[in-house]
Amino acid sequence: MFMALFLILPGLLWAQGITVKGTVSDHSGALPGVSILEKGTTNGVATNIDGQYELTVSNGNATLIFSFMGYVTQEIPLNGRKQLDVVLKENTEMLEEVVVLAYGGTQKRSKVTNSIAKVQEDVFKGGILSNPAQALSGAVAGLKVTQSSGNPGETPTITLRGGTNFDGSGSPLVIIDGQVRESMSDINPDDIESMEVMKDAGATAIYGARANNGVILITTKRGKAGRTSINFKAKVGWRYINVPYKFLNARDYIYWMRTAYNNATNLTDADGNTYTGWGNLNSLGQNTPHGTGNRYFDADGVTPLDGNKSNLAIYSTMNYTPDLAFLLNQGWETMTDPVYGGEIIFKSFDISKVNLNTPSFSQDYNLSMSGGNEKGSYYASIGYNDTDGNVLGNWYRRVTFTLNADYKIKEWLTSNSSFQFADAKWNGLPSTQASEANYFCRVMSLPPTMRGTNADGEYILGPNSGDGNQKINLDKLIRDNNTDKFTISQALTANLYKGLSLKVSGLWFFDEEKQEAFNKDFQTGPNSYNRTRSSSAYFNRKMNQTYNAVLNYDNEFLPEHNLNAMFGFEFYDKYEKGFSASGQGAAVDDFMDLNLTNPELTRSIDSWHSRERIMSFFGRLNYDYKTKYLISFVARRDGYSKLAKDNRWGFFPGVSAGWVFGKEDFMQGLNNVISFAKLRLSYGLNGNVNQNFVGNYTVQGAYGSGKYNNNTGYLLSTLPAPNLKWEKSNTFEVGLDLSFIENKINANFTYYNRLTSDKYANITIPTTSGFSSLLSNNGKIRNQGFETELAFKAINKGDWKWDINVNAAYNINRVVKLPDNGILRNAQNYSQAYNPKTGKLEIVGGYQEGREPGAVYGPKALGLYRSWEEVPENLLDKTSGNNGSRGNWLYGKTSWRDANANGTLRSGGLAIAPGDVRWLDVNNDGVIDDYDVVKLGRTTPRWTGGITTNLSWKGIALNVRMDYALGHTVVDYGSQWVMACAQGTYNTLTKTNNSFSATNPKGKWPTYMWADQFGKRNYCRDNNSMFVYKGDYLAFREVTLSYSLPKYLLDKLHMQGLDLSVTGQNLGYLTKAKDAYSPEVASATSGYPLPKILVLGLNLTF
Amino acid sequence: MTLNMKRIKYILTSFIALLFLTSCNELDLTPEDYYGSGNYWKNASQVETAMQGLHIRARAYYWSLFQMGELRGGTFHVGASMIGTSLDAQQIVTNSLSEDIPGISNWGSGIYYVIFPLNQFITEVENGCTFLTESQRDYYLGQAYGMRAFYYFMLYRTYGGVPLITKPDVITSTSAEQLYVARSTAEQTLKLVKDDITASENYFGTSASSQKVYWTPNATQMLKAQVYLWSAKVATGDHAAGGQAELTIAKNALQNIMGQYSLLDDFGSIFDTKNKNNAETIFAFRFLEGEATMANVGYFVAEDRYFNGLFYTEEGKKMNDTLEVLNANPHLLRYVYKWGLFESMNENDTRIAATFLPCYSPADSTNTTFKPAGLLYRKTLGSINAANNRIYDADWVVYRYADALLMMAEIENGLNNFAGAADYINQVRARAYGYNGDLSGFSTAYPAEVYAAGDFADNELAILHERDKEFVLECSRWFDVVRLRGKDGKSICFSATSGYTDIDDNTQKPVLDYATQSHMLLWPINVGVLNQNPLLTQTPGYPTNYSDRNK
Repeated sequence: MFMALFLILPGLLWAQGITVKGTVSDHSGALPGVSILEKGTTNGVATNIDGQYELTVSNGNATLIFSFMGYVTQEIPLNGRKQLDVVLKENTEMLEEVVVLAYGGTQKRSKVTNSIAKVQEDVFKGGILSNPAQALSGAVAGLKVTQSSGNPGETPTITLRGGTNFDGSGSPLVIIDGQVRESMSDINPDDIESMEVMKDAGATAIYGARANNGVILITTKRGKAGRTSINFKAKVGWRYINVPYKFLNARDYIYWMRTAYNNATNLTDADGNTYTGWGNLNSLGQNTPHGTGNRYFDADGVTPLDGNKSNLAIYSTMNYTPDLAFLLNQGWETMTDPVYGGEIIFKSFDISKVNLNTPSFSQDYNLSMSGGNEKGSYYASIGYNDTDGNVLGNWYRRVTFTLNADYKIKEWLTSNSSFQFADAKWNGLPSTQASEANYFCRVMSLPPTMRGTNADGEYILGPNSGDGNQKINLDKLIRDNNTDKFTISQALTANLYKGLSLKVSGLWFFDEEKQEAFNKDFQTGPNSYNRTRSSSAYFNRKMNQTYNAVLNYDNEFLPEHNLNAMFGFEFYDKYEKGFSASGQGAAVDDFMDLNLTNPELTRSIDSWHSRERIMSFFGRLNYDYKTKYLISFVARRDGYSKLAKDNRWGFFPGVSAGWVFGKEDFMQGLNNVISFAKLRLSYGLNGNVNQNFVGNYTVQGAYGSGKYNNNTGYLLSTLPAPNLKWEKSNTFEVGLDLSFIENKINANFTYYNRLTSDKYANITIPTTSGFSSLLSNNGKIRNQGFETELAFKAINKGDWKWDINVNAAYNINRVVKLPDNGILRNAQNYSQAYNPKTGKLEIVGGYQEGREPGAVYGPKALGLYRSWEEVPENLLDKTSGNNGSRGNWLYGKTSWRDANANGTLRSGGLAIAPGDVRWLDVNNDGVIDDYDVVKLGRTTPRWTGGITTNLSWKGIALNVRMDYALGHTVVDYGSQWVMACAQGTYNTLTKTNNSFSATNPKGKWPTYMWADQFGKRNYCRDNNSMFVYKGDYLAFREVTLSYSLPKYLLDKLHMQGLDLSVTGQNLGYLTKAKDAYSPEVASATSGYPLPKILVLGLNLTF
Repeated sequence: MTLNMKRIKYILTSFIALLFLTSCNELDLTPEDYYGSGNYWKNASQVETAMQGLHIRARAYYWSLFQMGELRGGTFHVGASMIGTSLDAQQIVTNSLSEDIPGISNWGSGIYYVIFPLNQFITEVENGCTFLTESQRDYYLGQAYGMRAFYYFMLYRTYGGVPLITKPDVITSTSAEQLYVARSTAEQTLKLVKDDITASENYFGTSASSQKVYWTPNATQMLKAQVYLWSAKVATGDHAAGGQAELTIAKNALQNIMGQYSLLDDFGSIFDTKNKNNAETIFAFRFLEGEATMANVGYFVAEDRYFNGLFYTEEGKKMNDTLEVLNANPHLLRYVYKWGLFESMNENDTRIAATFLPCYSPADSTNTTFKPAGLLYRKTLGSINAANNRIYDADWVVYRYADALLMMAEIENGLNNFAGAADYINQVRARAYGYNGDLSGFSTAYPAEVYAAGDFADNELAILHERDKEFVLECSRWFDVVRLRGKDGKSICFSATSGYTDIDDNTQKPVLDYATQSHMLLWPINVGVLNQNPLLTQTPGYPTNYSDRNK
């Protein structure tokens, strides 16, 4: 929209030494700092704060060069003028962005022929991140980021374009400054200069054997000549727990639990006959959470019992007697027993108040210094992140230090040195917890009648150490987890000849982990202690060495023929070694020293060693003519020690081409609308040695050892697999990059098709061979999809600026081939279901040739029977249920009468009654069995993407980042287990208040009955459709409001910059799956929800 | 200073030289903590560890021997145990086997997993391992061939003709198809067994048998006697019974070891953890705490909380943890012998007390009379360790001298030397009554118990009953009732005389019904195995829906 225009004002012609004045501006006003140079000389000046300049030039015919970062450089002949005001035109940013390529190359965005997405640095700005992966949700089209846990040390799972494994897994190769990392954990996001995601094999083939799931290329910050600054960033945050489960208080709990026992015990059939169900009422009078057999006083009637000493004093539920009246002043309450009608006294205790830490506090500080001149430059930073989780005792602390220094030793020789260090310490969940799901589902469903404290006000443990108050044993169960990562690298770059350079580098990366654990004597129940005093220690070191030499040639060898060629060699060596030991039974519980453990009791020791090596030759050739016809070749030859000698070497080529047809003559007429247009094509081959199948020495087989008669013996335990090859991925893609209306809209569209063949598989072989399976290359999977990224500059007027970026990716995986197993479509891990049309059994789910993996099949609930009239006459429910179900047969009205009359009623059989679920009888045969299931969805989303907008006015900016996933289902086993009363005495959700009952005939949920799995399985069925939600979500990942101090204030404060910001992180999801702990996880028992985080930020630059 | 051309050339040459000098051998790595396939079979001590490995693997399948050799023999109680537990392997115990209920799957629960390392060992040692001395090599091969014959003989007796695999082909295979092998005929299978025995004998030469928990020349002789005794008497598929010529071969084999062993005076001490390597044992698998224990033996006793104080002795004395099961695991009664087997034993036979603990429960509410409740087994319960836990660490005896004697009895019977047969029976019986090696003392003390030779069939039945008392849980009973002959000349399992009564069953019934179950002398193979290999066919006589499908 903005034309390159400049004003020519009349002026006098001077013969020599004339002074030129003027103002330089852009569309929004004066531009300070624009450099103005008299062409052909070193005579120059810069504009002042008001955009004005004054320069004395040699003559009136001189030409001035106006240049400024981010703007198109202009050369203007004076033609005698003395006043020259210039309006600079902004550069077409998006297209001139520079993209980092493999092995240190760069390429202008306009010349890129591959799918390489640059992660915008904004994503790391607002939130507090313990690792950079946490910021990638929605950042790049086709990159699916699953944040499945609110544990602060957690690294999200990342897959690109559907992953290359049958189960949809497979994470991109992460490379930081040339070093391959296993994940992005323990990386300080603030040290990142740029992050590129290489998606197509035309680009990733240069990483050959390890890159079929894509490559994430991270470059850390380095110093730049001419700019010196000290930067300090501080962020503090408050993390608020965001659990979907709302549990009952003690009053409702007692009401519902006692009712549940009654509901499961005293049943009635359609004819009004009563019969006994699967429950009994004994526990209602015992010392159970809901029973009245608990005691306040000891037998003497005066001494209060201590819940840490007596089983009778864990729970508060008791029959009310006048001697307990004083408790009513201490917060105890009374209610009427819904079963027997007496008065019950109880106390409410909310375990989440004691065992969840909300808001928990987190802080993140970064101090960095950078500077340089034409000889050398450096960047140094210290970072500190300290984040407390919402779970008691859960925290993560990271200290990082980075020093990147570059020095020009000789005119032709530059040295690049780096030292990076990261120390991380963390504590996970309390060690009594088997899983995060257990903590948020089981511990939090601790009966609220647990007294919480004894008469002296001290906390009591509750029933046992796993389910009880975790505060009690927190300091008894000592866990010390620590990783240290060091990177040391040195490179030398020799500029040999015009455009020809050689870079030689060596890189060491130590990755060490230390873990110690020690259990002091800890309470396991009332008056019961674990005095095992188990102690263990573990140390593991992975020493990575990478050496490479890269020859680079960059030249415009003929006018408009640009050539960049690179050839290199690399040697990689990774050696892992470690040891561990454990023991128990020390005489005292004060020290964890293993030497103090009892040698008579089981002690164990172990050490291990393992090495892998990769040798590689690689090259790249980028050529373009007139920046219009682009072509790029990459290739790599890898030799990998993991594979046997004959199959070790693989060749991985990639080719891509681009045609900037926007520059062709036939497009000139459309220039006003389409400002840039490029067609891209790419094809490449990648390999993968899937580590789930092939370890360092797997193909060599293994002899396992054992003892016979006190002698060591060996047996071939793993078959050698000398014929094993790489898994291969062939990727084809075609793309279109378009910019509209002066690049105000940038768009790109990509279609890809990736076929991964020679998948590793353990194929079944006749056991007469001596083994039951053989590891082989067998099976194919295809990922196909479409990606688009759209960037709008919606407003760019005056002080207002509004950018909107949207990306979207559609992906579908299909199994193409599986090992022959004689089953239809060679199905694996499948189940069977009735086809509703034919009523016949079909193979569904699992992996099947030609089908998409991850189908979710389950029984469909068509609502509840609400009256005896609605209960069918003839129906038999023979399903098996889950959670240890007894699989009792359930009978319709007539079926029940007949079975009772002719004595064929199955032991445990029950009459279907109002309040039970009406299940879909798929084949309509009057029997509900395990095959009466329908497709309820799939585990992986088809659509993923992100939306970001950035609105700014002067120094104030509002940045919103959202991401979404569409097309998957979420199975909520957590709610199912809790609402089924599957534990038998533990709490349920407030949703149970809306369960069907005589007084609530419109209730949404089935009758609340004790141990549903032992009875009617209204809840306890796998993939019960009542707990399978559409997983589509829009996540409000980050909202940041920031303010930058204006320049005139900064100058007064002698600062380069001062920004203040407030950020809301993980604000929530727009989803139908809001009852599940996370809509990002397709199927989980439960888990650690992401907290909502409020962050205050300060960013100071001197 | 800038670079001159000379320097550039120098640097570039170095770079290129680097590429070519780097050796690709850098990528040849081997495991550092264990042997891979590339660094085993390289020296004599590795071969020694491989031989230990063969015994480790064989020991791991001790339970297969029990499943194949004993379960179907008609000596097990059917229904629930006295403590109310449902009993295991009921389909096998009641001989209700079919393709879909094969009883045991995967060829004797994995016998080919034992055969594979034997094949590998034989291949490696016969064709390589030149570092071994001639005598080392021969002894190792004698052991390996002997053991392979032992396991193929187990398969032969169980399935008749089976796939014969004698090479470790799986190591070099890349597909399932390469490993499909059809069943050989019974005769071919038996020939392999006999050939392997010959190979074992030839390799062993005149070597002595100094050890008891490793395969020895004498183990091969015991096996040879078993094989030829079986071959002489049992027709299977295309194999016709060989008769007296083969009995003579069996007799010669046993005569090679006569006199090298002796019966122990105390029957129970044969299985005593503290009396391992005793004079009666010829070959046993070694069980040791920390190495391997026979956990499955725990299925023959009852957990204390379901037993203590609930059952009585015959005299009405309440029992506690009489067997000191303590907290061994697992220990829920899953296998119970028939009461009739216990009843068939004379009260003066020391084998009763060493083998069974009979349990009684009150016959009425007065607690004055008691009725049989069930049997607990006690022969190989192992010992109590330092931490006061019951561990099943008795050795698993495969061959012992009493077996040699009773095989001799059977051979002499087959050779029509009935008096000789009776003499061998009485040698075993005298020991059981406390007169080891003192036949005259035995006949003086228990004249009624001395066996007087009858006709061929009488002797066969006497041998069966002697074996039944002697070899409880020693994997003998099923093979005995197939091999020994009834009056009609058929396997004695078709005769009612071979059956035992039980607490709730007073009739003696044949183990199998000849009219409907004669094909069941062999076992069916399971569907899973059929699915894995399209060349396989079901055992003859068993209806099949599966093996035809592949044709």
